[in-house]
Amino acid sequence: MTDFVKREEFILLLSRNCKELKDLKPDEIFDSGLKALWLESEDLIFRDKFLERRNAARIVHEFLRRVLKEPDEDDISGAKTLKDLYDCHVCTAHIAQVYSKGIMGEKKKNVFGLTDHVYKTEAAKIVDRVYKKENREER
Amino acid sequence: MNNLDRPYTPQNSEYRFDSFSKDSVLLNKKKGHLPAMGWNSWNAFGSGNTEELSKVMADRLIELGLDKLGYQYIVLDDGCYKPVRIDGRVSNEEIKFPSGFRALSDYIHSKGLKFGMYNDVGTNLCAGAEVGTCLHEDVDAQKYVEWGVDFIKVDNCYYPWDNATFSNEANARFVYAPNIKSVRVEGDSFKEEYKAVNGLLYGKGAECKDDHVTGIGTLDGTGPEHSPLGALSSELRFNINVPRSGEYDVYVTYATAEVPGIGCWLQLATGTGDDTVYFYDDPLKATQDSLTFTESEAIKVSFKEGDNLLRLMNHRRQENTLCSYAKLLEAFNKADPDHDVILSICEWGKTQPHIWGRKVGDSWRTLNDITFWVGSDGDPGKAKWQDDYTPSITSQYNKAVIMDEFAGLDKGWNDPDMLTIGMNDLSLDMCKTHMIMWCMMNAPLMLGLDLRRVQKGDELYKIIANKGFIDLNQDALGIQAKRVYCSLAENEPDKEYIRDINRLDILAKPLSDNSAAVSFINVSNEHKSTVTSIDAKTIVKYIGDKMPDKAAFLNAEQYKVIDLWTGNESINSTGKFETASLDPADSVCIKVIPI
Repeated sequence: MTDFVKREEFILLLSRNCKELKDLKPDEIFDSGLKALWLESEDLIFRDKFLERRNAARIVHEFLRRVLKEPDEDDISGAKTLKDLYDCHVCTAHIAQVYSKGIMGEKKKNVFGLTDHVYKTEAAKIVDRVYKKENREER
Repeated sequence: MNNLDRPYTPQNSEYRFDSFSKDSVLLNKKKGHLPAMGWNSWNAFGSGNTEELSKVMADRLIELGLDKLGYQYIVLDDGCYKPVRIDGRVSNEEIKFPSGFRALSDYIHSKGLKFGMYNDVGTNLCAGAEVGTCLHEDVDAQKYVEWGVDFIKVDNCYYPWDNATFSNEANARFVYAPNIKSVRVEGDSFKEEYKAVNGLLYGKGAECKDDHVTGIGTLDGTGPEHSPLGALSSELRFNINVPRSGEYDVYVTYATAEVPGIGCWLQLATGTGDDTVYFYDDPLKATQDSLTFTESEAIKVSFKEGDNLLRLMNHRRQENTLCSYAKLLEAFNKADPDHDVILSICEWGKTQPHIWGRKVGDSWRTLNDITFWVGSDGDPGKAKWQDDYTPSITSQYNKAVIMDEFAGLDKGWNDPDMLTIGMNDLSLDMCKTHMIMWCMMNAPLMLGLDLRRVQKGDELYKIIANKGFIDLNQDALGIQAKRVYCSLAENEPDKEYIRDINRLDILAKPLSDNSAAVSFINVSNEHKSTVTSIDAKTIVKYIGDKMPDKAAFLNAEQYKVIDLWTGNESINSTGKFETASLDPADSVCIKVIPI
C-alpha cells in the first residue's frame, strides 16, 4: 500500500475546513470547484489518480485566491532558487506562490519536484498551512 | 506505423539538417502572411478562459475598433479542452465552453474575426490534458477544419522525442549522440583507426573530455544563455582518405547515456549539403554507462577514392521537432487541401526553430515564456521589464532583435511571445516601448489583456491602437528592423547578443514607401540624458539593400520626420536623426521620409 494521496482525497481534505464547502458532498464540491475555476476538469476525470506536486500547487493557489480570497505574494524571488520552477510553464506561478507563502517546500535541495507524488502526511501539512498562516514556513 | 518509441522518420532530404540553409518550404506551406494580429487568452486568463470571456473579448475587439487596425484572431490557448479524448477525438471542456467550439467559431466569424486554437506536438498539453496531437495529427486536423480554425498555436510539452517540458529527461537519448572515443574503418586491405579527440569538432556544443568527445547535438535554446546566431549544433568530423572507391566497414567506439549532452542516437553520413549521404540514423545499443565504451557493429559506408568527409552527429532534436510540425501540416493539407491555417510554432526556441521553422510554420517562438504570472478574470497578472531568465520584455527583445535575417514574408516571423501590455508592474513607457519593439521586429501582435480594461482613447488604447506603430509591423515589405546602433556593442550592433540592459539601441526598418522607421530605445531602467543619433548613411549601410530605392533615400535633400507617438512632424535637412534624452524604458519612434 502506498501513502500517496489521491486527487479527490486532497480536494476533500482542502474543502473540509472551508465553511462554504464543508457540508457539500464530494460531487458537489467538484461541481462547485469547476464552476469557480479553482478546479480543472482533469481533477474530476483523474480524481482517483495520485496527486502530483505541481497539481497540488495549482489547486492550492487557485483555492487561495478564488475561494479564500488571499492575495498573491508580491515577492516571489525566493522561489527562483527552485531549478525546475520555469520548467513548468503553466504552473510556474502556482509553485512560486505556494512556495513563497511557505505552504509547500522543495522536494530536494533547490528542486520543487513537479511530477513527484504527494504523501498523505504531506497533504495534511499543506492543508494545515493553507488555513493556519502561523504554521507556514518562513521564506 | 509510428509509436512513441521512435520519432517520425524524415521523409526526404528536405526534412534534414543540411536543407535548413535552403529557402525551400515543405508540403506547399503557403507563405506571404504578414505577422498575425489578435488576442490570445493566455496572458489574460491562463487556464481560466471561458466561452463567455472569449465572446466578450471578440465583442470588445470590435467595440474598440481594433479589428479595423488589423487585430483579427481570437485565440483560445491552453485550458479549453476536455482532458481526455472521447472516441479518439479532442473536444471542448463542457463547463468552460458549454456550446462547443464550432458554435464559438461561428460567433467569432460572425463578427468578421478569425478563430484560433491551441494544441501541442507532444502527447499532452502543457496544462496536462491528454489530448496532444502526437500520433493523432490526422483526426485532430480534421476536427480543426470542422471547427473552422484559422490559426493554431502548437506547443511542445510532453514531447516524446526530446527532453522537453514534462517529457522524460531520458528522452535526451534521441537528441544527443553517444560519447565517442574512436572510429575504425576497414575494407579491401585498408584499415585505419581515428581517435575522436583528433577529429574536427565542427559547430558548437561538443567538446573533448579526456579520451573521448561528448556533447554532440543541438544547443537548447529555451533559456536566454545562447546567442541565436552562429553555429548552434555540433558534429565530430574526420577526413577519411581511402585508396579505392567502394564499400567499407565503419566501427564506432562509443558509450551511451540518457541525459542532456549524452544520448544513444547516432547519425553517420558522408559529404555535406546536397551531397550528404546517410549511412546510419538510429540508436546504438545502450552501454552500461557513459564511460564504458563498446564498439558498434559494422556500419557499411561508401567512400570514394581519396579524401572523404565522415560526419558523426545527431541533428534529431531539430529534425524530430520539424517532422512533428510537418506531420500536423500534412494532416491539415489532407483535411482541407485549400486551407491557409496560420501555424504558430511554440516550442520556445528549444530546437533553434528560426533555422527550420519557415519550412512548415508562420512564426516560431524564440524563448520560454515572456511571463509566468498570467492573469485571471479580475486580475491582470504581472509582467516584468527585466529578468535574468526569459520572463521579461527585455529578455525576449534582447534575443529577437538580432534575429532579423531569419524573418521575412517568404519565411515567417520570430515570435518573442505575446504582448504583456496592460499587465501589472509595467509602466506606460514600458508598455509603449514594448509595442514599438514588437512592431519594429515584425513580431506577431497578440494582445494578452482583458479588453474590458481598455477604453477608447485611454492610455493603454493609445498604445495598442497606435496606427503608426501597427503600420510598421504590417508594412507590405515585411522586413524586420535591424539594430543599427547599440551603446554596448563592440563592433556589430546587428549581430552581438547583449543581455545587459543598461544601454541604448537604435533600430531601423525599411518600409515599402521607401521611408524608414527609426526607433531610439532606452533599454535600461534609468534615465538616459545622452544624445543618441544616427545618420542616413549609417541607416543605408545596414538596411539599404532591403530598401526599394536606397539611393533616393540616401541622397534626399530633406527628410520629413514624423514622430509616431506624438504625431509631430518636422523637416530635417541634415540627414542626421537624434534624440536628446530618454526616460527609463522609454523610446522614440520616427518615420523618416525622403523628400
